Amino acid sequence: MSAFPAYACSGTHCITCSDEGVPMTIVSMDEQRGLALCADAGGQRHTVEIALLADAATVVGSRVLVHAGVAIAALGALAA
Amino acid sequence: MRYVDEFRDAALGRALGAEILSLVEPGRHYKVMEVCGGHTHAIYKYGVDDLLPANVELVHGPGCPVCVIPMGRVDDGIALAKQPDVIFTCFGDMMRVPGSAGSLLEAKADGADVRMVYSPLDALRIAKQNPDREVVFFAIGFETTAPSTALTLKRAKTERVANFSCICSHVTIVPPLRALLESPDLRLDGFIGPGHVATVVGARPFEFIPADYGKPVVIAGFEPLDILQSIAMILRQLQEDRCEVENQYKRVVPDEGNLRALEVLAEVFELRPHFEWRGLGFISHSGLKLTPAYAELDAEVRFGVPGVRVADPKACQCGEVLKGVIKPWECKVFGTACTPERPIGTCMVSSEGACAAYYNFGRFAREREVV
Repeated sequence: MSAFPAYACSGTHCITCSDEGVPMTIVSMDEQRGLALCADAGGQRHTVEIALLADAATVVGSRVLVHAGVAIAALGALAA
Repeated sequence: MRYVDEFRDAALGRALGAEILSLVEPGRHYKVMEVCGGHTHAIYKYGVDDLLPANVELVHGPGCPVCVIPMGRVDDGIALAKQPDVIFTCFGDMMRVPGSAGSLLEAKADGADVRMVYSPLDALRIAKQNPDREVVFFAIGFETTAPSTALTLKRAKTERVANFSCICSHVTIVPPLRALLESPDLRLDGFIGPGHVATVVGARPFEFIPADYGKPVVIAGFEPLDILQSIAMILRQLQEDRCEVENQYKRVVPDEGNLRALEVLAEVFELRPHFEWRGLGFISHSGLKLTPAYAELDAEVRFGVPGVRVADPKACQCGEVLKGVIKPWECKVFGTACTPERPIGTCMVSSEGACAAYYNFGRFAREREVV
């Protein structure tokens, strides 16, 4: 069997895990396409679909919970 | 780290452990199921169970989206991946799940174009970049990931991406919970509810558990203090003879869920009459398929799939692990024939799988105090 791609896993936790929620911060918005550029805790940037959140929750600097490329919840000030 | 350290504080953890100890009735054995695989992973990673008295037992539930996919469904995916001109896309964990004749990773080694994606949006992008190829996305997951697939399908339809389709293996969490509660094998005292599923569906869908079965549910976050606090809340309900759905994860989970996500799910998906779960068998109305309006994006319709039911390997006891009947280490092949490097069963594949989580973090003899 081929080795599992090294970039797929970080330590013992697979970053591609299909049901993992990742807190991110919105860095910039592409309102026309309904997408946002978000940064995770390590500073890595991701393109995220934001159609499921209210407009007020999707401004630059907002923290959101991202599942499989989609923001599914706005995070409060202390949300982990 | 900001936003994280607050929920991993050791002193607060020990205080919650002491509170749990004070809530335990001496001589009584408590079985609490953590429904979500993310909780299972966190429990082993942070050693949460080490802070519990021995008569508080955590039972691992069926909430790992990879672990519940039956072998026949993996075979369906591999059959599509081997079609000429198909680029088959899936989450990383799915690539290693064994079908009856190998995994998607092995199909890739044999020449199939199988690509790992982080989100269905990535699969759609691959479709746009390869207009002369068919791009199929293997959609799995509970209500947390289903909105992601739904939005991608909406986008594919709006943007008329004709070479994109999806093999939908999304499932919903309530039917298997009901099946577990009906099972004579298992006596549970309460449930740690799945925090991120509740982000989408809200707290209401879990109300049948206290109403119909008299068990408390506490929707919980995924940090160690979240889990400890939710266990304390369950034990307090039992001590006070209360039985309700409580939301420990209020900082993320609104009681009503995400209404926009629920609208998108209702537009794109409908319930299958029944769907097969690994180890749990066929459960009515537990799987999602595309609505007729999206049938043109359904890979099962576009290509056809074998759809053959395949029995689990005889040595594999994933079914009993998924139902919480046995612990991972009680399986005959745990850590010997079945390891994360060479899994026999799905529970050893995903990091959220109970067997993989225990194999990675918990292979130590532990003595706990009995109250």
